[in-house]
Amino acid sequence: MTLGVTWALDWMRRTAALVVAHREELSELDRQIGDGDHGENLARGFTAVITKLDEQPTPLQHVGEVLRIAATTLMSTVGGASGPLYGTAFLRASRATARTELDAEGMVALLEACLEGVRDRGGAALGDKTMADAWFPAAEAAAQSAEHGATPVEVLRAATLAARRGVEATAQLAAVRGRASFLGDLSIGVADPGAASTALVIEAAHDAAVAAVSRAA
Amino acid sequence: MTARVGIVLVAHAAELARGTASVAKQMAPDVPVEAVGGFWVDGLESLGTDVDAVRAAVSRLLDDGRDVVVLGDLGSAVLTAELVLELLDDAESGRVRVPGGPFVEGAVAAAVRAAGGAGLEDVAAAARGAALIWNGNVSGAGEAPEGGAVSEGGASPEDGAVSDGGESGALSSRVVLGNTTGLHARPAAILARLVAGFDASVTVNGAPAESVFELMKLAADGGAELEVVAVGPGASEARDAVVAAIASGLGER
Repeated sequence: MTLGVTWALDWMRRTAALVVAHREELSELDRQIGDGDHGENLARGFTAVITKLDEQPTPLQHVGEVLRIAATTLMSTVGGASGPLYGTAFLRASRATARTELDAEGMVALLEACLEGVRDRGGAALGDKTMADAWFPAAEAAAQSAEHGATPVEVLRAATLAARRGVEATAQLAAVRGRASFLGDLSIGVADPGAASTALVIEAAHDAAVAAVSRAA
Repeated sequence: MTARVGIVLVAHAAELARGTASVAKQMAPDVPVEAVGGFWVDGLESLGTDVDAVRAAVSRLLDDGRDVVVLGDLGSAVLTAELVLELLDDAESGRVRVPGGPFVEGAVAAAVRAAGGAGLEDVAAAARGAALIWNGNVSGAGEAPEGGAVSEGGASPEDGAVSDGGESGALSSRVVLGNTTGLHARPAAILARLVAGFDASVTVNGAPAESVFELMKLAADGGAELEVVAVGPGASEARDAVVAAIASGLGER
């Protein structure tokens, strides 16, 4: 079983739906330790991604094409730090996925490219209480499960669970980057909104993969 | 002197970007400064940064033949600027720097340095070095990228004297500041721009004269006697010009 452009398009739709559904929750986390607009910004950005994908005159061929459109649209429409961060993550991922079908290793490469993009753009290390704290365990768990012969769906399931644990762990951390860093230790007790949205993005990838498998069955 | 470097100021609010640009332009009117602030959603400004607008501003300056220094007000503005850097092609990105540094002080320091005709690296270093104003590190590395010559003239001239030569080749003079309001921002900027035009390192009471902030930190009142020391091939012309400018009040009475 491999996943292709149909999965990627569904991934983006499900991401938009999840982010819109969790918009208030993300903004509430951000209100407590940031500027309070994370949910709104991402809801606007991913909604614009769907509009942009719908407007494509010819059908897209590669996963990478979907991700490149998502990247440039997020850069232009998000307005907060998460625009450049998700934009860079997806742009790197689009370079790693310029093919029609992704197997388990391809999925690992995608997640690792996202992690690399986020770290390059934001300079965050593990434990800085940023979205890297979700991307990092997700990519690591994905690689481990692929090594054990997992399917793409299982890889994404492992990544989703690891990302969620990563989000929970950020609640125990003090922020050292971004607006939350001005709060320092006062940010302890609240999960990082960027990590929380990252877990939703990866969860959407998993949900879209499950749907693709059930369609194929 | 024509500025070779333009400045792009990226802020979360249009008001903040525009206001900071105004402050910088007041001290360096001939330097192109682009203010990019806020993020527009359906015609309404919200707080944020706009990748496309930053990219457009950088491209305008590049197309105009200038190198570009980009400064951001908070972390995500810097992220945006760094993303724009990545989106440019190699030939363009080589002409753009995102040095970091305090927004207002960095903008002013960079603009004044650019007004003196300084190159890209010098202007970037001036922006970064403006952070030192807050920690009391007077002659930090960022502010004097061309080495230690600036405040190491070694001259300690006799009272009231004009000394030519001396063991280090430094030229010094004493002069009375000819305005009433003292060496505040605008006169300091005039002085900093003036010295940038000479092939010499000039200090005023030990402060590097190319740095507006170091000059302002002298807190020299009108009528104060200042010691001007110049070193380098153009030391004589530089000293004479600086002494004349200080004596005449740096554009004020």
